[in-house]
Amino acid sequence: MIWIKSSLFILIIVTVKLIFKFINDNGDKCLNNMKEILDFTDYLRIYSCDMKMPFDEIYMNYTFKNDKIKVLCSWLQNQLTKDKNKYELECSMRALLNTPDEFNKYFSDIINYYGSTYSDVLDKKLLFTIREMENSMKNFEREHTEKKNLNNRISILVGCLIAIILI
Amino acid sequence: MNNILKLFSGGLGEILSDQSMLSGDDTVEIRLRINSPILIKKINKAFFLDNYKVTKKDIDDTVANLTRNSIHAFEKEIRGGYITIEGGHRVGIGGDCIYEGNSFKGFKNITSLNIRIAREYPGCSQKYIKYFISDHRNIYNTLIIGPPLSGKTTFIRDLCANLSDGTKKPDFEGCDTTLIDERGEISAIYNGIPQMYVGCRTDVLSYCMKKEGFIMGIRALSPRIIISDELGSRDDFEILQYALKSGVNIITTAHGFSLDDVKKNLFMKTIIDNNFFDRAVILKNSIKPGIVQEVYDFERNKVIFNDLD
Repeated sequence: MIWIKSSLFILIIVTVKLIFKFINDNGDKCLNNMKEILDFTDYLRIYSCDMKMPFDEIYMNYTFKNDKIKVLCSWLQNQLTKDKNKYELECSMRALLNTPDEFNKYFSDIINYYGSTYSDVLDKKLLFTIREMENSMKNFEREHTEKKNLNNRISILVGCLIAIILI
Repeated sequence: MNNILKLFSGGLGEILSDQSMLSGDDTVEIRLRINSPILIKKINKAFFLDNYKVTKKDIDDTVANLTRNSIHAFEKEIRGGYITIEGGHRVGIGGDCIYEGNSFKGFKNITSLNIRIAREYPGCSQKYIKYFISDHRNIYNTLIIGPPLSGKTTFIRDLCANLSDGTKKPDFEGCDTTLIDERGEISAIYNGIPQMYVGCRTDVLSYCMKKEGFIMGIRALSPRIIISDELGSRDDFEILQYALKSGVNIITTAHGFSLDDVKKNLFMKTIIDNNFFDRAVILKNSIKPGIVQEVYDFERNKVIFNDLD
């Protein structure tokens, strides 16, 4: 009987630990997505302003590490061509990547000016967007690291507590 | 024509595609001016589409389509006042100009567009090719003179293809040619691909300044002929001198109605008086592009061909 209880105890702890790990992984994925969006935006800036390439060629040339980011950039391309609806892009970003609203807002701002400004102005505007996105990402990263540390610390305790209550 | 129509914003595209008048091959220009009806120019006539007035949004949307929503990618061309689109068609732009210091930077508000439909006239120079090739199969350094819309660009493009590919009559096997297409209009470069045929032995330096183009071409591409358009600036004397010293033949164009008219440009006068050219070919201002009115031989100091002959 004792070994069944011990096994259940360990199983509950491991399950709780895994749930916490899953929560942490979501944040990590979100952070990686934000980093890749930032990389793409910087690539967009360099190839638009220095190499004078149009968006569709840049989109074709960029090597996307994540398919979701590729989908997002193709949505951005569609929005630039058709409706220029930044709120729709913001909502799509939230649904697809779960990135913070502030970050999404800055990225979707690109719709408002990309394609209608000359390269010097575009360069300044994209640099501003990148800086704001970086700040937003750093805030998210700081909060996420704090949460992650806390989760790591309390996961075993919570696991033990739940196991004791249940058993 | 369908390729051009798809570039117009939704409403305009529909109106234009309904026009049976656009179906022929003789449409030369489509002009959009803000708050004015669309103007269509054919070879022999022009007419307004009175049922619709072009709005600012129509022009902005059309510009967005033409530039593939990336106006920054066409900055250099816009500084020249036009954009080249797929098919080699040229879109002239009018609007509020922005300057940076003394140099033109671009347009703030674009208020008019002039879509000039490009067409190739293969073989338009064939009849006159004998005036460019000597008995020893050398190429004469030639200045092609013509007024606006006489087809200088069309003529030089066809000439380039003929000299590059070679001709049977006169017997000329073709030679390496460098085409310095300063404004991208001879080869009508779009996305790095020439939209017009310029010959199988032709290297194209597009959107390249004439001076750099001549130096790069001579040093790196070792052509026998360099073809460029529109001489008439201060630097051209030095450029031509350098090219001729290097043993390269030159064929180029200049704006003007006659040789005397061209000489009104002091830089051109210096070049002509220094005997840099062997021949001058003067084009006629006619409906059909690339019709030669006169060929003048500088060495013999006389007209060797006249359209009246």
